[in-house]
Amino acid sequence: MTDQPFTGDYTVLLFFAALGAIQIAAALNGLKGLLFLHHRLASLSLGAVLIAGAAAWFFVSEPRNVPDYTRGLNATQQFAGFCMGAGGASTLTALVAAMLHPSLGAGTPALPPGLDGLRDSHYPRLLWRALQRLLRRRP
Amino acid sequence: MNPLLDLDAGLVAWLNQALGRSPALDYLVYLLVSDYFVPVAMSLWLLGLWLSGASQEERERRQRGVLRAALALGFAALLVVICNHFYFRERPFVHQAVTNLLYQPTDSSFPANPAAVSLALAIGVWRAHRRSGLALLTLAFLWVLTRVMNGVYYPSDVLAGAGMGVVATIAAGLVLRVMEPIPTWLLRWARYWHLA
Repeated sequence: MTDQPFTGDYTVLLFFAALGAIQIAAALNGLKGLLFLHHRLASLSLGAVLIAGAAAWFFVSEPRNVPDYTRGLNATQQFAGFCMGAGGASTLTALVAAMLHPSLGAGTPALPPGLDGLRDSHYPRLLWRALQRLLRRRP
Repeated sequence: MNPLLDLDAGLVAWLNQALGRSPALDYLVYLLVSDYFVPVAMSLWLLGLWLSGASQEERERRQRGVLRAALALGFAALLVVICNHFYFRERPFVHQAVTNLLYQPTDSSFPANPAAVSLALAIGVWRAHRRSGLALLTLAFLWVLTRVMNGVYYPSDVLAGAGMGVVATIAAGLVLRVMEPIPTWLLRWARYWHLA
């Protein structure tokens, strides 16, 4: 064990826990474009397993109640870990859900604005259509 | 002796008696007192809240709550840093023999940083979504209770920190109101890209 802060471990915890939280939130709010699995209960279970598994691994793998002048993390390192972990989890969710359900939203010409669009389509399609709208608007 | 200081020290000693009796309770306290468990749980809750809401209006209200909570957290942390610059109070474990499952922090005990930031987050979302506010308040309570239990803070540090959390939330609400229409533009921009 080195004396380096466990920033990497913390980011991994946040990454998997955020993956789980997104699956649970998407299942509860019908955001099909973010789900890995079609079945609501299966998505909720997957989310819970991801969060519990990440937390169990993080807290059991080594002592975590250590000060930030040894291997612990200060507030800035925790914030950076959250941004990287949650940002990475959001990006991966959007990409994996699109690969798993490539035809979602293909037959819908007008998709609702905001997150509501994720009820009927995957994120890359929404992003592509938003870009097209932006390009059409430009003179 | 000051009776208020006696009460502070007495409460720490009384709560600390619960530690070291049951391995299950000790492990639960080890998790709750940590720098990571409650903050991560609160962050994930806010992430979920950002994605939730049956209608666009409801979702926007919740997202404004998340923005207010995030800004309030920043203000609360800043208030604690400013206060620590002018006043230093030694931790309870310096003066009392206690079982401590965290570690021994070297910064000031007063005001309690966890109380300030966790209460700022909880009250920040309270107006937007009561159930989330209640869940975050419960997490905040457990976090600061275990900190006092482990002799890391006095109850009066927690009360002062909680007061700062409330002030920070009020300040965040005012700043967001003064900054209008910037928060509205930000949410509209995020909605255009299907992020809000």
